[in-house]
Amino acid sequence: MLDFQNVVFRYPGDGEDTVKGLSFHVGKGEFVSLVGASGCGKSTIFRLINGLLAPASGDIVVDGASVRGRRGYCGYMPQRDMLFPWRTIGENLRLPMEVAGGLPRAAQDKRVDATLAHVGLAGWRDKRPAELSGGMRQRAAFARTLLTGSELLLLDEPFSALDFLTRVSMQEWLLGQWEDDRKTVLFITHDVEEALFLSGRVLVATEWPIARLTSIEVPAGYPRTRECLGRPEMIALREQLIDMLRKGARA
Amino acid sequence: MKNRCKGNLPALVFLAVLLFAWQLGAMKADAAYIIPSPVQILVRLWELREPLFTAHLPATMLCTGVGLAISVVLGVLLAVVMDAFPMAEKALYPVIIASQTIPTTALAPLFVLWFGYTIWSRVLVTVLITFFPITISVFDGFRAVSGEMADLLRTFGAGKREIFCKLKLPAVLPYFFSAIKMAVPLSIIGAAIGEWLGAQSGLGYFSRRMMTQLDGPGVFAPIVLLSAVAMLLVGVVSLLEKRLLKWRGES
Repeated sequence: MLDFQNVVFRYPGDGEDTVKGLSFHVGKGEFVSLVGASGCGKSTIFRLINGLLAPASGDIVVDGASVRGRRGYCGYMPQRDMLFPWRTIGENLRLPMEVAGGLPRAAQDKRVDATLAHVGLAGWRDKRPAELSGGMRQRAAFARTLLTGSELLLLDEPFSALDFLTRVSMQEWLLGQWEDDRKTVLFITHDVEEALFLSGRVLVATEWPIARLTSIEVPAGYPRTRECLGRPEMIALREQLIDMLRKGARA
Repeated sequence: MKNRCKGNLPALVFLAVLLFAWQLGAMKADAAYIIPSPVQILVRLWELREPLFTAHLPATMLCTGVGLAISVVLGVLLAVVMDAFPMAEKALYPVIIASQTIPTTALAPLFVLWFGYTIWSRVLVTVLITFFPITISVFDGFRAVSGEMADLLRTFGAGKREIFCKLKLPAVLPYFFSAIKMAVPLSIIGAAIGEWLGAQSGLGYFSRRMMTQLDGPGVFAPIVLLSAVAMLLVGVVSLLEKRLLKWRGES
């Protein structure tokens, strides 16, 4: 589904590469978390995938084709909801389809309604973002990401700005969504527990510049409940991950 | 509505006290050609209603309207160009700022030489005073547009034109309305100054003519009328703003 092939990237004006010959693979339908200390370049990887940044060398391949010059191959959900305050929820959700074009208005509205129902926001279509709670806004932002129609979803710390209880319920909600759709999800977080609870595999960034990601399988199947986090092998893995991140941050 | 009246109460009380003190002071001075009392001004306004409302107010409004329209078009155009082309910003922005140090009033007699006693000499004064806050406010509005929201649109595949129409234009509207609220009184002042310096009709011209006749209340009457019209117009713009920018009040 997603392949990084020896990707190199350097921000203009920087003396050193941020991403240095990175290769990794994410398979179709996988839920993979990308963890690393703040500022290690996780978000840079996302911006390379969604085309906001272009690699200096190497290639990024999605669905068998290089992402260069392509559009609509991935849905990106930023940290904050980024709902446009002057648009209603329905109009916000329509945005990716408006930009992509090609779909008549009635068909767009139909997909918006279906997706709103899917994320549990039926009846909120004509409200404005300011009228929704933080968790609801993130759900609306997720719905907007789904409506890009892409099979690859890039979620960049989508729950980091939410309070603890909302975050926990949103994690459970997202897991339910993924189990229904089985889209390929790449999920950035700096919360090790969140990564373990959600993903089948964790990619750990331990060094800067990022030249490789350590891949660790999560020893738990789906469907999954929060109880699995209490199992000894999960606790051991959590400690191991925290240890790895700490070493990475120190270096 | 009731609450709004309550909110304005201190201002109204202060205004009443001020007017009362003025009335007392003027009555004590008893020299209407130097300091007419508010009551004398209102009486004079009533006596002069015929020429003021049928000849001079329309003349001033025409000049204000034409000047404001040109200023809005010019101001927004400059802001859009500076936003779209960084080179244009570098070239224009400092010059526009510097242009505001020129005392337009002092130059206005020249404009009369160039355009004669036509409306255009007055329109030019109006435009020179009015376009500046529009350009600066709207341009600042463009600069305040969220880069993250623009990035999100780019991941949907949006180009420059779509980012402008779907993000920048709606995001800049609040700034535009603030600019108009500043520009309306300025354009009226500009028109009045233009008429002071050279015209055959208009409230500014009328006020000056009354000055030559040492008619104190007659000098003030058209000025009171100008202020009232300016307040009325700003009120209309505010109403329009509330209608069009409903989403702002909901957060």
